[in-house]
Amino acid sequence: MSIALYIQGRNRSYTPHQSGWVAFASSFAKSADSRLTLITQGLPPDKAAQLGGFGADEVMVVDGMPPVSDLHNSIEALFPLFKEKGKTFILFGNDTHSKALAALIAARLEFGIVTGVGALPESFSPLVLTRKAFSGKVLTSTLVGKPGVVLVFNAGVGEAVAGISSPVIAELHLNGNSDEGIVVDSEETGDGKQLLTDALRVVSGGRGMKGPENWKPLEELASVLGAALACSRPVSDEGWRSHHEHVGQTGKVIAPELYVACGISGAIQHVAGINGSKVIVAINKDKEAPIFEVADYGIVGDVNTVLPSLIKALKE
Amino acid sequence: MKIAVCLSHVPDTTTRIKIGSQSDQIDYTGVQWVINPWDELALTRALELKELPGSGVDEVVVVNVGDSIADPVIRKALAIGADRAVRVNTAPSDSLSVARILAAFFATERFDLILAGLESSDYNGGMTGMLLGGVLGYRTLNGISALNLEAGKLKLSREMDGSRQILVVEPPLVAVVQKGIAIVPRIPSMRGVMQARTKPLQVVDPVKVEAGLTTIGYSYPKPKGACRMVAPGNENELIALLKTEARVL
Repeated sequence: MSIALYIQGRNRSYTPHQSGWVAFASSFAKSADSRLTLITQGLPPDKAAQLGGFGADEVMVVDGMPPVSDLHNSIEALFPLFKEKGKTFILFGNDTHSKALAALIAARLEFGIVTGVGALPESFSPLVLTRKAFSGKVLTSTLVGKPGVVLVFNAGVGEAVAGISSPVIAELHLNGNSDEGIVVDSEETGDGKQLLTDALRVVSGGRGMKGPENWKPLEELASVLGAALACSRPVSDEGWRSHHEHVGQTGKVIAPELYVACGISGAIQHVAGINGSKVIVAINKDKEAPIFEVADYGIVGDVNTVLPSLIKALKE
Repeated sequence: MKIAVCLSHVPDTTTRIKIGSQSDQIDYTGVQWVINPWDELALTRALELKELPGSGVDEVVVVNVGDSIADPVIRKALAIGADRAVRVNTAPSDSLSVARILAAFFATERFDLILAGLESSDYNGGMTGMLLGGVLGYRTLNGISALNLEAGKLKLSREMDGSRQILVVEPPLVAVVQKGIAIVPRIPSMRGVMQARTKPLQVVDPVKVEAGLTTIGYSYPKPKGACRMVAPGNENELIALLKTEARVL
């Protein structure tokens, strides 16, 4: 048995979700009575070792990879490593690049692939996994018929504790080919701004905010909490906020520790994007709003009066 | 240039999902089937590209893996403006099987650009498009939020976590698209609905594939505990609860 987890670093470091994935992969490996190899890309060796300390037995620090847009050659370069280190399970987080590699390696190795994994398997032999389907309306139990499987973890899994393992570190320089049919015209990096999908706290506004001119208190609450800003679909459709902030079924799916929904009624499409949050706080003037069915804490009231006093109370 | 849009039929998002009496299947009786929301956006963008003056796009074809239950949904795609449709006649199972079935079809008819939605809103797997690219061996990219044609090449933006790249790619390409590719899906016009009745919907047989995964049971998630209400004006109490009870502050 061998289990490999792949992580691509972010700005030469790692995010809380990524350390959670290492911790979760480690409990996965322990339950399967196996060793965990962490394969990292885009991380300096010291950071990779730190990340591995969340529960890996071994870290392979990879560099010299083809550009991230060249997915087929990336898989060609990583293939021997996955084949050797992930004979039973190859694990990924659910960021865009990892999902792409997960699919391509599964296609290449003819492994089964299960995404949306947020819990340890019901059983390892035979392998049965439970995951949400229909945007969380039902749970399905999936039987993986033959050994060799690729799994993609949800964000927000794992209890990350630094330094609980002292992995063996190996550096590996891979020489990938590159595809001249894919040219990078330009690239914007996120100038260090907190990403909605990484954020552990999110403050979100809906149609109940009445207009883009009323976003000041949301921005202020986000800044006091160190939270990222989000919105519901009507808000982005109306152009009040950029569609990059849209969370919900067709927008971004997020799993922060704290989600504060302000003036959001909680349509099922919206809930599909936030029901992985640990704690949901809802502020809405309609006590019948469906958001209160999924919220942990609620205030029935006008956002225009509740938000300023919430901000004031937080500052005290 | 020929563009294919992979189209899933899914239960309308607001539909209640009912587990069958044997709890090993979903009871689809009375379910309203719709075009998967991301596929609808992909189709919208494909049609916008075709309509650009001098675009060089000859045809937009929707391709579905499904049994005849999908036909009304496919007709709707034709009414929105697709030129023709292909349905590979089998109920879809796991994503790798669907990808192999699609790849076998695409081996018989070549397209320059194959669009697939980020995920289907039923099983939320989000893998079929990338798997198709992997099996087919075409250039494959996910996270695509904008798509344009430029001198026979594809110019697209790829949203990564933490960065966005503008890429120029030579066809053929499988692109897995998300919101931003189009913002509001097109709806059929009356004229479109009339025309759709006579547009070709070709039904082809699937290749045999062995499913690696089996869904063996369904259950409902545990209902969430009641929401704890705090009176407006008592925001201090909410903060105390978030600190001491929920421990998120």
